[in-house]
Amino acid sequence: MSMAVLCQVKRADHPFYIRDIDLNIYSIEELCYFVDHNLALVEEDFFDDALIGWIGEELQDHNFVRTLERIRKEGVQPLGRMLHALNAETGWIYVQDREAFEKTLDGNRKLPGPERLRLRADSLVGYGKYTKAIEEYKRILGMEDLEGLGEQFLGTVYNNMGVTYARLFEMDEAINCLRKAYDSIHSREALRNYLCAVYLARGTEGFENSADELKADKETRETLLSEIKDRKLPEPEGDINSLLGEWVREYHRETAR
Amino acid sequence: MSARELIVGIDLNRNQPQICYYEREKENTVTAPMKVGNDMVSFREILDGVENLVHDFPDEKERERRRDELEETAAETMRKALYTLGLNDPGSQIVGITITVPVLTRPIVHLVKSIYRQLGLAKARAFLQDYKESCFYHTIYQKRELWNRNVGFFIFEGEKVSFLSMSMNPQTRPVTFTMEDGITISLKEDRSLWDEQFYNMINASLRQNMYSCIFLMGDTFDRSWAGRSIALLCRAGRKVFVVDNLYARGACYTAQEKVVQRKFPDCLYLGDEIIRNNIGMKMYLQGRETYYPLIAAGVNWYEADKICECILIGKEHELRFLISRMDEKDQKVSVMELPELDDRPDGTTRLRIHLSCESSKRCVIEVEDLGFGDMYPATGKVWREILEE
Repeated sequence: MSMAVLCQVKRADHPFYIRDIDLNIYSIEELCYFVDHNLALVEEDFFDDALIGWIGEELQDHNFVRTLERIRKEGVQPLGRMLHALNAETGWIYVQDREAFEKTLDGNRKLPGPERLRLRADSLVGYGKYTKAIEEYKRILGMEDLEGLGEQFLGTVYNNMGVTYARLFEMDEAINCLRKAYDSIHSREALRNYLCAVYLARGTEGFENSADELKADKETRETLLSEIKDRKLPEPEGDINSLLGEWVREYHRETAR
Repeated sequence: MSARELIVGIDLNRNQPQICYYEREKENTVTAPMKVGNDMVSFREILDGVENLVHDFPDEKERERRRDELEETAAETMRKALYTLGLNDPGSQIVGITITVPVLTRPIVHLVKSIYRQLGLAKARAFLQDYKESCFYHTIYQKRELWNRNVGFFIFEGEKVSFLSMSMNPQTRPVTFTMEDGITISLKEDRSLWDEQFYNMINASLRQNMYSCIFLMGDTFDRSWAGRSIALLCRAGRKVFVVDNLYARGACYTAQEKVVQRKFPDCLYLGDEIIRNNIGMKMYLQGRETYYPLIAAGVNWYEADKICECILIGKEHELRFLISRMDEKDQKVSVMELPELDDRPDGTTRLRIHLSCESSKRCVIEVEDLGFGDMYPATGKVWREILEE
């Protein structure tokens, strides 16, 4: 049986613009849905003057504004408490498991800066904001404290960055990144991603050359080539997105924390 | 006249519209015919016009245009009549107003609402009722001993005389009042027979029932021909009053009761226009499942209008309305299907629900898909369902 949740806060006449993903939102429910499904994109300064001002002026939700301002003034874990307050405002309709939500929030808060940034960049890829995502991946690679995070982390960043470049059809950059990913991780998946990008950009000959260079044995290269071809790419240009999307999802599954 | 805090009752009829106003500062009630300058106001053409719109203008666009014209004329006439009384800004000078009409029809309701809108009178202080309800409010604003039993109304309109009986049920909380139509007679041409005719009508109408008070209304009634009838009316200690402004005064008392005084919160008039069903929904409010009332029994159908928005949770594309009679506890469920509503992730469908009534027994529910912002744009689909008693 379906249930209805009463909307007690009016919709805005003028939307709030979430620049990261180029999205206009018009209601407290949309705001709540967005943050609950995109925690990685919600940074500490998400509830800034502009957003709080919009909630007051457009949604006329002055009680909530007072709550947000009080939390901001107190300064103790403001983001988590603000997200809590936002969910309470909408009756927690978008969070089925509050305990899991709290854990995710807490987990995100404890993540090292580069890790948080990677999740954010991956989310941007998910929304098709490739250029912004690449900027974030570059920001990560420019950070000083990456060594402690290990080769696996670095490999993940390069892989995802490579895939994102491929989506922009910048194949040289993509190949470059995916090669670095393979050099960091040395996994079969990373090898396949790299060789697939090479195949898409340079054809079978390029694939063979790169496989030679990486000393891939006959069986491996045949299996990989078959896998790549099995993806049926009659028109590589048209299908490249779905293929690359599959890579990202697969890679995330493989490297999920 | 004081220019502020005025409570107004208007008897909007074809023959002789009246206005009754109460000045709070002076505690003074005045009733007068409606005039613009020295000329009597007539709403005959307007009232005939709106009631015959469907017949006179089969084409819908043409009908709407004519309706707008009539409503503008009505509002302008009303504005001028109020101006004649010194009210140049009704929107800010009137704290409460009721317009009473002989019978409520949808065209009349539309007309009066339009007049209020054009005069800047908000819903919370501008009311509408029929003559019967005016009789009720007029009565309860009299001394209690006048209505501790039944109250009778003899209404003379030309040769036609009709009877209306108001009774009270003190066993309920709130105490309920009903109006019942009685017999109607036609007076003969020969005036010498009127007393006899009316005498018989009184006997047939009052029978053995206890009446504490009788009101006589209308131009045709005159003491000169009604000696025997009056004696019968006054029997058993009944109080008898001849009144010529009852409807306008009753309307004024309504506005006073609803906006200012609330002297009778425990009295409920159950007129023909009153909705007898509660309609609501189970909704989540602040995370808790709660009964949310949409239409409350006890209000007039033309005043029942509710708009709310909700987020749909769950896979079924439907809304469930709970209906209960005002005098019963049991609830009936009415499921409204929303076919062809887009499948979206849970919680990303916002719906606008609009309930209004076409009569006391017929409620219209309109549901519109508002989508979910830019994430899931509104389709503009609208579903309509009728709840009938």
